[in-house]
Amino acid sequence: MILDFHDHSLLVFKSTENKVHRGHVTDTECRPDITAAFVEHWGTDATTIWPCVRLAGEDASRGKSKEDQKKQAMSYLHYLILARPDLYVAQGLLISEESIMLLFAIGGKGVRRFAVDWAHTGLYKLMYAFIYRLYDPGHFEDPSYVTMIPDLQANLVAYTIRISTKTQVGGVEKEEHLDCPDFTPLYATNPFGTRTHILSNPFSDIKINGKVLTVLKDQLCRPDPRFEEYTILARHIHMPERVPGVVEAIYHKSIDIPVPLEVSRVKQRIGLRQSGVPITSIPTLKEMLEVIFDVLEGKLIL
Amino acid sequence: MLKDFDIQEEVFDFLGVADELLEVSPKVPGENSAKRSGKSRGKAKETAKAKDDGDPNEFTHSNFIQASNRLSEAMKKDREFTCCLIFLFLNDFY
Repeated sequence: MILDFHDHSLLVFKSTENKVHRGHVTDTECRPDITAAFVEHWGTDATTIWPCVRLAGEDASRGKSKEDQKKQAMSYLHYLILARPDLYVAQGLLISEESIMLLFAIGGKGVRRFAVDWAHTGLYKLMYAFIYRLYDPGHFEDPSYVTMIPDLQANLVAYTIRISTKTQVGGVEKEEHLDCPDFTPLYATNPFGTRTHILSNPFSDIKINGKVLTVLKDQLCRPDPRFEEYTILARHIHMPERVPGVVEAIYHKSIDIPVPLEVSRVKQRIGLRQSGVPITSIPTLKEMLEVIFDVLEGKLIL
Repeated sequence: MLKDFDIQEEVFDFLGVADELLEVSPKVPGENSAKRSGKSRGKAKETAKAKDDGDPNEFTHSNFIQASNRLSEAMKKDREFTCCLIFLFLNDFY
């Protein structure tokens, strides 16, 4: 007897058409008709937090035109992949009277679809393989996201992200792995283009060359970009002398995306020393002007 | 919009699930529930219609969620159990 996922918790599908899931980095209030998440991630009100959602789907039997329903199903995936920096591919469904459509949102690329009739002889294998990848994302996930710990009360998750650094020991270069715990998502945008995720742990004690790393930024960039953010920050701005008021990049790594996903971009991970709050969170115009004045005068020390 | 998958083999390649893992069902391709149950095709269609009319104990697209949960539960347990559950899953969809 072969065991499948006997040591895994149960993946549960629920009808969530009238429910708003919590904890999305963009605060979206969109409501997928179908949601799948592991059993321990569901709240008592049949909602979960977006970073725990494994699948979002649309039931096409409810009003709306077919085209609108396809757009709706894809919009759920847009939000799902924004909520899941740990996944390269997010999975979704569109079910109708005639068929079931499997949807795959590929970060930095777009949505690919495959529709099968309910009576299709290959349906059972497709559904098996599809659900298999929900249990075990395999190459659909970024293995550097080591753990994800949800806090259903606070509506957020904390990731442990593994970074690798190179050090010289006795003239020999060695690669070391560092686990950066308790990083929470701050910002996410443009999931099918330059897909960018920013995560932060203001209380981090991870040090790179003696400097504390508090922010990690993942962004999908072209393999041969005209400008590299890390180079600009580390060499052009802060060399030979540190410039106050401009964030410092203290870590950089290029991460290749699995070949079968055929994404033409590369994930650039930058570690930043300083963390802060969005400029739009400054409460008054006066304080905003003071901050801008200080930055321009070079008085603001981050 | 990206190019959609044209054939199921492309989807399997993309999912990257090993062939041997997919060999889970005792189902013979082309077989359907009408044959298995001995019902005529017309009778099976009537039954299917009755299901669509709202029998909550049967699988139709409208209670796809229960079907998915049964498959998910089966996959969490073991392969033999998965075979049984997939059989039920199919039985109810046809």
